[in-house]
Amino acid sequence: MIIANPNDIPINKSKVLCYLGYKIDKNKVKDIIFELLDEQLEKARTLIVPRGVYRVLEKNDLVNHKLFFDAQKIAFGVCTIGNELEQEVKRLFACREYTRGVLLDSIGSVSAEAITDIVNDELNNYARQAGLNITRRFSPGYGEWDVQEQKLLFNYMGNLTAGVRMLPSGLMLPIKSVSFACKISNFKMKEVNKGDKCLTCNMRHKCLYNQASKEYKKEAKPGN
Amino acid sequence: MYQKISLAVQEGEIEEVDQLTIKSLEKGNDPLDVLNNALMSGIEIVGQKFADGELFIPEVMMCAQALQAGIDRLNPFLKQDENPHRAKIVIGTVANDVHDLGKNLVKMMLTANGYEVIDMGVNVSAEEFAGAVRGHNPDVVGMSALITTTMLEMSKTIEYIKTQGLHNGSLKILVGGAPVTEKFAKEIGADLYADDAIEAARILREIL
Repeated sequence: MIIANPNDIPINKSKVLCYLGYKIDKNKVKDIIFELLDEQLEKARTLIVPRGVYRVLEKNDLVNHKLFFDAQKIAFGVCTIGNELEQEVKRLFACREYTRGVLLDSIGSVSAEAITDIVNDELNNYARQAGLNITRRFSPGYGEWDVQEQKLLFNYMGNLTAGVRMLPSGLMLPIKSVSFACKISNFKMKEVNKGDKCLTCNMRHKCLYNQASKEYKKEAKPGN
Repeated sequence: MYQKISLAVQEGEIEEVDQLTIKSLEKGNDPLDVLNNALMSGIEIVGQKFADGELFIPEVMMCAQALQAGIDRLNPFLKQDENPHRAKIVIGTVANDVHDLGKNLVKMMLTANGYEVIDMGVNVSAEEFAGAVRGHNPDVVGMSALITTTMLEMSKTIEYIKTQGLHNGSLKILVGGAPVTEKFAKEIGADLYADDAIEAARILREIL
């Protein structure tokens, strides 16, 4: 299991604000929001427990699945920041500290993606050192991969789940968790994640992050 | 004075709204008039600015906190039947779904607008929703879901409420959540659909 020091988790403030709908290049963010954001960022570092696991399986070990047709190996991963931040968000809402609550929640989302990036980087290094190609990560619930197939992913992870539990609906607890797969092969493979997972997300039309985050979407490159 | 209160709500100035509301009451203004023409007028402009992309969620939260501070001041002076916003709303995230941020935002906006909100929490079964409708006799029951699989629970819950004979003339069913669309809301027999928490408050102000 990869356990990261909370202070080493890169939490990009602009990205946190993007999740709340701000287009950083266009919208002026009030000073008070930045002050509260800094305050909640500091608090978040004491609440998050970023950790993740991955498992690489030979394709022969898997049931036939159209998404993995061109892979030789499949890597599955589960990452989380734990439950404490979420509990603090609930507490803030209960105390009517709504602004702090939404900021902390957004920080949680960015932190969960950040620990997933770290675990994904390890996986990329593994593939690189083995001289193999690896695709971008893709997750159940996005694009062609039905959220119901979260069960498949958790089945293959076995006991390796970093403390993340899957519910019958396919949702995970703690909520701020990310599961994913990457295809690995000697040969070039078809990318499932086209570089902007928002493009294949059926909630993209309503999502504030999708509307506000053009700059971050450009960052996703194969193997990153 | 009303204009000042309205502006303070729009700026999310919690303390200022509180103080101005006290002053307004001390001057002998009618509490219902302060509610409608100062506080609610302010939050309506906030809603419009949010819709126009001029304000964002954290700022709207501050405005709602300010609104709530004003309503808290007024509440002891408002008679139960005087407050037109004092309807009762049961709200919850449907079965198998554990996300509560969206539901909490709706709860917050409705509470800030003066409604009595009974929060059933997350993973609320159809039977629990129906039980709450029986027990609380609300004006509205609101359901939230975050993912495509769990939004189907809304359909089951509405069906159950209807088969139990609870969807009578006065009860309205409101649905919302990331994957939910107006078309889906109609298909499953919901009365109302809101795209976000601010719209939920606006719609309920219109119908209640």
